Amino acid sequence: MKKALLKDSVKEIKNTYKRFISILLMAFLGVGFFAGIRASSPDMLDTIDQYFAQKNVYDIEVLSTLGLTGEDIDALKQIEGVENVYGTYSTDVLIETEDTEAVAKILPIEDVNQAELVEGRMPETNAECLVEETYLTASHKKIGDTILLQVEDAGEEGVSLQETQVTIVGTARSPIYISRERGTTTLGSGKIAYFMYVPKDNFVSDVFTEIYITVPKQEGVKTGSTEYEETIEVVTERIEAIKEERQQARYQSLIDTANAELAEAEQTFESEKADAEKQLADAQAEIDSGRKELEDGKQALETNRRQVNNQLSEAKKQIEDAEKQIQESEQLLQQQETQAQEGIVQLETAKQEQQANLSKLETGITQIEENIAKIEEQLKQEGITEEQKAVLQAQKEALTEQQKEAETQKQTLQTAIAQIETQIQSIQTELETGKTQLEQAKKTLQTSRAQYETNQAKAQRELSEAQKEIENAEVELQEGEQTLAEKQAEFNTKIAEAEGELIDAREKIAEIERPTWYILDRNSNSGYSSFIKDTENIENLGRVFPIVFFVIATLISLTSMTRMVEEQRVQIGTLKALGYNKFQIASKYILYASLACIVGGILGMMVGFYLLPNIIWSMYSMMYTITNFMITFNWYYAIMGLGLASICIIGATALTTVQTLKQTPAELMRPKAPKPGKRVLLERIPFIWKRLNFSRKVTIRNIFRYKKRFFMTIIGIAGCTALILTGFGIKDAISALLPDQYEKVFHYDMQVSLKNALTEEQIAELIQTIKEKQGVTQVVETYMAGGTLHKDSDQEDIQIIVPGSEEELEKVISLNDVATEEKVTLPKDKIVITDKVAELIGAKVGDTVTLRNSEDEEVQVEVAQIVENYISHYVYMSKQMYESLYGTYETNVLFLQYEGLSEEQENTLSKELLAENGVSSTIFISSIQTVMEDMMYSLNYVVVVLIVSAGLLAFVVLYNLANVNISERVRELATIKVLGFYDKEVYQYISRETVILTAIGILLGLAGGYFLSYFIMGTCEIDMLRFTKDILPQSYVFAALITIAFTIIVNIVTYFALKKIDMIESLKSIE
Amino acid sequence: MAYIEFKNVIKEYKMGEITIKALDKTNFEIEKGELVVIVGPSGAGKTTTLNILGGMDNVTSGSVWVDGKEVSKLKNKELIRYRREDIGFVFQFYNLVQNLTALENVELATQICKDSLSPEEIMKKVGLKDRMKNFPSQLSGGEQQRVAIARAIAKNPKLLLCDEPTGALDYKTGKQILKLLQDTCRKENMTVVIITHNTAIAPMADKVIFFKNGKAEKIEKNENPISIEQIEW
Repeated sequence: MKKALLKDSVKEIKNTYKRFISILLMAFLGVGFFAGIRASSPDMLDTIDQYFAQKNVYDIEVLSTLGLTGEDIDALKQIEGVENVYGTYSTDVLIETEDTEAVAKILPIEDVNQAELVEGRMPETNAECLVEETYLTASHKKIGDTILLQVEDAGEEGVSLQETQVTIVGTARSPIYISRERGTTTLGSGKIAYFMYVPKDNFVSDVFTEIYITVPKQEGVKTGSTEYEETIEVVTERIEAIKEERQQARYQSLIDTANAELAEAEQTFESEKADAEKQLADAQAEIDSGRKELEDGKQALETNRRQVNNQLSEAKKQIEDAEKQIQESEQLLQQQETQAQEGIVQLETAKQEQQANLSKLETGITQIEENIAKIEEQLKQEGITEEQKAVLQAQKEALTEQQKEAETQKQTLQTAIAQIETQIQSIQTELETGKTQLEQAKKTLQTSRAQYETNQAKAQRELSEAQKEIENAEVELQEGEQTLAEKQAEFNTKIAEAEGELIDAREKIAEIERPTWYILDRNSNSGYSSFIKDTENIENLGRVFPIVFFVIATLISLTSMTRMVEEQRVQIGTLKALGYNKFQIASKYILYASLACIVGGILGMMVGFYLLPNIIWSMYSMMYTITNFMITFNWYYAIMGLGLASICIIGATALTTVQTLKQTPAELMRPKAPKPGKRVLLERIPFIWKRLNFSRKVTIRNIFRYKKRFFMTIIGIAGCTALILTGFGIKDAISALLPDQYEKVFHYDMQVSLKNALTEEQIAELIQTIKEKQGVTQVVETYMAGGTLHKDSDQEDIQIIVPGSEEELEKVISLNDVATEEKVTLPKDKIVITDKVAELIGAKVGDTVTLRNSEDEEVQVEVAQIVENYISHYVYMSKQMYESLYGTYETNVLFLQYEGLSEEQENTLSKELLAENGVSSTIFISSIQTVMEDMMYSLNYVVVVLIVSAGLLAFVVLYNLANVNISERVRELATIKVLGFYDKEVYQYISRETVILTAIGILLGLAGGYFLSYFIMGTCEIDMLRFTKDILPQSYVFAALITIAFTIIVNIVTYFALKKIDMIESLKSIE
Repeated sequence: MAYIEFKNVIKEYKMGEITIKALDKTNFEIEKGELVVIVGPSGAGKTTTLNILGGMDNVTSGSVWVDGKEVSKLKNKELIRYRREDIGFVFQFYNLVQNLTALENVELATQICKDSLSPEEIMKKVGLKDRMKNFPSQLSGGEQQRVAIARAIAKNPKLLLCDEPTGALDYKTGKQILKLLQDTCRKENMTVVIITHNTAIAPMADKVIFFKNGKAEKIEKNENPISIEQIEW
């Protein structure tokens, strides 16, 4: 470029700085908005990618219905493209939180899916754990407190924990739970409320519950990207390839183990059976021998009895004989006695004679002796003479002789008496002897008899004892037999039982399910997938919004630059005449446009790349626990945005310049033939045309004259209005969400979850108690559980609601058909689903869908109706249908309605309810609303960004158009000024057109905004939510007012610009 | 006092550091109903004089009187009113509003004036009775200039100012335009000021003012102006 030209270009910018700035602003807004919105999604993806890489989050998860083994891990390690394989455990437990029971997912501290420590420290022993922050808030616990983990008895295959009393040592975030969604469980309320991390060693399990696989991270391949998905797809397919084999292996090993166990059991059974049979046989033999012995004993007893009887009778006979003899002896003895008595009497007589003789003798003797004694005395007397003496002596001797004789006589007598006495004595002795002998015999007899009697008694006793013994033995034997019979029976049952068990075991083996592997990728993680979906939503938003911006910005730049080139026709012609080539001439305008475009674009990028992703992130960070948002300067979008802006703006400039340059210098230097005036269609309707006053006519004709400007203005204003309205529309949709759900659909105030396995009476009692609470007006029984709904390959998490009574349900939940708004009744054999889930899985009324409950039982059901709903997905079915599908119905959730309770009273009610035995948790709508309102509040930022950006755009557009309008018609304006139009009239002359164009633009914009917001809402709608697509009337008003406000500002600026128009200058030159 | 008086009018333009004196103590007078022709070379100050006279520009010093009103002292709004009520302008390039028909262009002027004349009447007078509904682009240069004149005189102004009215026209058409202006002056007793560098037409004027270097160098009164038809150049 020649120096003079360059100078000219720089001066041009200085002179027309307003135009320059407006083009710069266009580029700024276009590029900034484009780059910012477009970069948000990649920035978010970068952030999650980085986060997942840092936390070593799995790429593929393998689950099996029958657990996974070390061999599975080895097999997976062999697969190409697998980096690491981690076998881990997890389990669901019940924990107590502030009077309520909640379910927590226990995760291991592992190299994969690492916990992100927020506060405190990592657990060092099995009795320590990490919890999530919300748990601490909800439970009012703090680090250092302990929690009791109640592991459900899951049988031998389940996972248990070594330590169930664990101390909280810190709080953590989990990369696999980045959103609030924790999944479902078969425990408690059916919803997992928290996760917790414990050391891996704390788990006790035979098999792994999960296998996590990481795939080597490729440079530049981000999670969620197509390349990533493809890589994972390839590895997944390889895993699919070994899946069958591994399933079979696991199945086989289970079968083998079971068979081995069975064989062992059979062996044990057989040996035990043989043992038992032997024992029984022994017992039988014993009984038999016992029986024989008993018989023998009986026989022996009988023999004995006979023998004894014989002996006894013999003895008796002997005794009787002896008695007879004794009797005979007594008779004989009595005869002998009589004889002896007679003999004794004779003898006595004899004796008495003798005695008498004797006595006489003795008297004689005694006289003798006395005579002797008298002689002797005389002898002895002193004085006795010898003669006397000799007479005395001879007397005496005669007397002694007499005495001797007497004595001899006496002796003879005595002998005779003695003889008699001896005779008597001998008779007596004889008699005595006989008597004694008899006595002796009697005594002997008596002894014999006594002995006999003793013997007899003894024998009798012995016999009876023996008899008794035999009888006892018999009883014993009978008992033995009975016992044996019992034993036999027992044995039989036991055998039957054991055989039954064996059969069962065999059947069980036959029934052993083939394990199924589930090979899941990150998309099955609800937090991750909703995050990815959100980034996609933003990406979609980034597709539409910036395009509107770009189109408008381009159109406006085009208009500006065209005008600029046209204004400088003469100069261009002059330069051309002077011999500058086309390129040299065009370069000025291209430089001008490029500078504006590049400077604006770069500024836009700097602001856009920083501001928009941050604002969007600040909103999403409320829903996800990912920190460290990464803002990167996205070269791709930078170049793309700037490139697009350059193509549009510079391209437009080049195009107009080139077109102008085609003309010859002479043509250029001559004024461009003014655009001829034309009649408009309206003039052909004199009825209307005639009624218009002059200035209206002029305005109308002018509007139609500058068609290009007409369309530009309308498109510009319409676009801006549409963008603003969309901003409001999004805000409306978001803020309508809660009222829609909690006023139109749900009318309950509190949801009370009941503990498992309550009896009907307990529930009835509980309901009665609740009904008596202050303010409670309604208690409705329902069954509620988590599950998934499938159709084809689509699946969505849903909540199943089965009312105890449909009439009752109506009081707390309105089921209205989504299309007709009519009330829906639950059919007997079909289900009713909410409309968003219907849309997501593509189900229509009459379609058959698969409903899987939390226990993974699948049923095929037909959709009867689709009902309106705004938050979450629900499946409703009648009690009757539920019972026919699953058998039993159990109330587990109560919906409460109450009136006039303050927040405090609500809390009190909740506390009172939680104190009740059967209540496991309470949720009140007012608290959900608060939480959601907070979340929704953040969305307002985005809306404000949209509105401000759109407003800015509207301003720039209007200002630019006004400028172009003035500059294009400066001659005309100068003319009317010369004619003596007051400033106000001049202004009106122009503004009347602007007003009409703005009005049309606004109307079109409102219509366009309706569709744009409908479209954007459709693409941005979070899966769990259903936005109302109706925009509030006031939003239309606000959108229109904002555009009008900008129009007014621009018009004020225009007013002064018009005032400044130099009539002389404008009219002097040839156009 | 004359109908129009220019007294010691100085007009300076500041172009950066340079000051250009467009008018340097210009003095002249014009009587009511006079047809005045201002002639002179380029840059002599003819157009500046006309602009000041027409209330489109202000003076640096000196005073301008029109019909007893000191135009040079008027404020913006009064100036507009002055233009609106007292002045009719005819330009070299007609400056018709392209989007309005001939009649509408006239109406554009009459609708803002109190004592305006009937546009249709004026159109008849300028000889465009049959062309009223045509757009400027459908008219020849001369016809367009007639429309411009019609627009100027329809306001019934005190003063009709014409800046090179024939500059873009051929000889014959130019003559017809000048005739129209002369007739208007004579018949309506309107004061008409025509700028031209064609001195040949000077005889048609009641007064000819010669401009040179920002000064009215010579003012000639023509006691017997001749009809334009009689002038050849």
